[in-house]
Amino acid sequence: MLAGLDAFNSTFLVDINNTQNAITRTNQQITSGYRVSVASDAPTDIATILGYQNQASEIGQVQTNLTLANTQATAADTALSSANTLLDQLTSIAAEGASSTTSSTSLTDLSQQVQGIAQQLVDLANTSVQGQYIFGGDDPSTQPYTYDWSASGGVVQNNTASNTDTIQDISGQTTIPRMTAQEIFDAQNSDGTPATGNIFQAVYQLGTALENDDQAGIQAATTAISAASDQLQTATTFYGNVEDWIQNASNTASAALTNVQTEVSNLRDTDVVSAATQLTTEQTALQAAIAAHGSLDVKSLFDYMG
Amino acid sequence: MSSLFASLSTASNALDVLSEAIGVVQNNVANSSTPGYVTQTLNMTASPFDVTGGLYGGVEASGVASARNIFAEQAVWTANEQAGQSTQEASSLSALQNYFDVSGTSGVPAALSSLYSAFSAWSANPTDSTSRQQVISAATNFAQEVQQTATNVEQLRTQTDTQLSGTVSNINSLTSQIATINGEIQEGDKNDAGVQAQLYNSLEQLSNLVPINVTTASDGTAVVLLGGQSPLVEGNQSNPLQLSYTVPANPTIANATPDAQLLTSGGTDVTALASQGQLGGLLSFRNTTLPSVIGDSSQQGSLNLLAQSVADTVNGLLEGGEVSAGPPAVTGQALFSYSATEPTEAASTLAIDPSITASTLAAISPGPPAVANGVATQLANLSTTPITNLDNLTATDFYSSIASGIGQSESTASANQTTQSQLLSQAQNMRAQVEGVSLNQQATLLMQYQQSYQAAAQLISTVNVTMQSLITVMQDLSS
Repeated sequence: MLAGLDAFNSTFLVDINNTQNAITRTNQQITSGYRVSVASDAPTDIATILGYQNQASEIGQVQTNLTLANTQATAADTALSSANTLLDQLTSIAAEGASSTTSSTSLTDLSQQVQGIAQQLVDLANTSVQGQYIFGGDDPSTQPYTYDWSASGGVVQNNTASNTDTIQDISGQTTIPRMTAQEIFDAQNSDGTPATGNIFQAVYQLGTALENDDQAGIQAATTAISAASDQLQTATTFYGNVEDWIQNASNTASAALTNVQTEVSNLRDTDVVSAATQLTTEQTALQAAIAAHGSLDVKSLFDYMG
Repeated sequence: MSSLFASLSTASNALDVLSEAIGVVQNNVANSSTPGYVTQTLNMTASPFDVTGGLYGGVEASGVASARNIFAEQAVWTANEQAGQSTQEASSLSALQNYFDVSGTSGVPAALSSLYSAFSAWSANPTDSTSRQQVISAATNFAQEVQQTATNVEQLRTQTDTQLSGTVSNINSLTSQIATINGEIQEGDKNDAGVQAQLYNSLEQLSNLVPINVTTASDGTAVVLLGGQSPLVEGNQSNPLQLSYTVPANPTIANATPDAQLLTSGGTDVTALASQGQLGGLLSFRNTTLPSVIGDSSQQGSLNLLAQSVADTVNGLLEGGEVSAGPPAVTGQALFSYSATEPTEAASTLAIDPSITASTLAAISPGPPAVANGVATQLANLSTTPITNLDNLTATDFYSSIASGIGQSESTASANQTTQSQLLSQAQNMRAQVEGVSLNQQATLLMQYQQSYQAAAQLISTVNVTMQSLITVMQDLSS
């Protein structure tokens, strides 16, 4: 027995509904640009996609952190370079002060110059980036030193914070990215007395010796300035290493971010060419189905009865 | 002479029978698209024919036969039950998965990433007030996203309850209709094709809602059982179903939203019998899928577990840290708060502890050795740190497992829906092949009956002429 048209139409509607759903899905993938918009699109890929997305966000933040650390390290490097220039000037002043032809008036002038340089060195120790003292250690909001020639060593220390902050690369490796002003400019022994290489102390020693026309003091200050230059060189080397570390970490992060973004794109984004082909195929199938159904001869024998 | 009268009688009777047959054909044609209607055929039997014994044959109508095939009907009901279930599951799961972003650009995963980024930025600048405020903002946003997701899922539970109520109401309406039809059958309409069409149309609609077993009683009424066990319709009596939301005795989690129960009018729990059909899909979603996410009397729910575990982990690190190394050292305080007494409300109550401020965030790890940004760094590293309570997964991976599980279920349900719709269509097609009205066949029968009718009429005419001739001869003889 021939089936009634109702059942035939029901089958047609089910099939055409499936085709239309497929077209809607493919069209959505093309317009959104995403192959995976909801979890059911690729349930087994969800953990990977979200994991990569999270990783990309994490890497992005690490890059931002590294950029900030690099800005501070560069500023520190510049400050140390300036300090080195100032120490060179001090060495010249000391040599001039040690000369037997220099008058006492000139020594006083030289002492004034030394005090000016001491103030510049304090300013360098107080270098700030984005409102934070880069040599402030764990307390970057407090200015490390204040220039005060009348004080012992010519400075007043405001900030004794240690330096434990670390920065982290994308693999979790950490490094301490900075030194404190005390470590660089005001090296001290465990009992708090100035240690060899103490820059502020060397400058103060020179200024005082010049002021007092103390040739022995000038000689001693010259030796201290030389040790201070070594101390400065150590700090410069430290920051050079930090900048290298940051550069390597940044390069690694950039490469990792590119990889992660590529993986996310491969998993999540629509292959437009493939999807467009798929859409064309589905639309053709739909049109063919509708045309075929429309062209069906639905006449029955009743149509031929007189 | 007597045989001529007999011929007239049988021919006349044939006209009556053929007239009935044509009536059956017109009824078939008229109802060819009527839901539940099946082809009816007039049974015609030949009368005894023995001329020498005075039996002149003829045709008699011996009732109308229905093409109803109970196996074809049962095949449709079974397919309909499964189609109803898979369609409902696909619909419900599709709504649920929309609340779980998988792009990583919005919702909980984006908020979680932002929170980790804020921790990371804070670790790079632990004393910076802007970085600290960003942590507070990101944590607030995370709590809001978790809350919003919990609210959405809770609303879906409410909508599901409304759907359940509507479905049970539809079931009761249909069983009531079937009971009424059974009453008509008991009053003598057992073979009425129209009544039978109404009955089977109602049964087909019912099978889309619940799994049914149907048997025919001796009086011709349909006995409908839920899941083969619990009677829904017996004779002209229907047994309405009802929903109950009763907290079970000794629940694992007190005060949690209870599951939905399907009860008979006598209070018997028949939830397990309604495993298929639209109602089966709704009950499964309401009592299994949703609780796995948002909890019920027996489980906390994965979203609540995620919220609580993230909050506990973050709070634990902050409370173990120091705001200031002192002396005296100032210990840290919790960032998140949630309902500690209601495990199934952890997500919906997740918020920022009202007493915390940007300046009271504890960045310092006391060590030894003490690290000024130690806690902040540990918080930033949470993005890759497995959390014990989350099956040793990171929070992001655990969220992914929730979304992935829902997506997998939706994908399976959608595939089932497609398959079951096709199977239903095939079953309906097969049934139509067996019992549906074929217009071609009816046209053929109509022509056949028309020709027979014309022949019988012609026979009457011929007998009439013959009898007129006989009467004329007899008149001539008598005159």
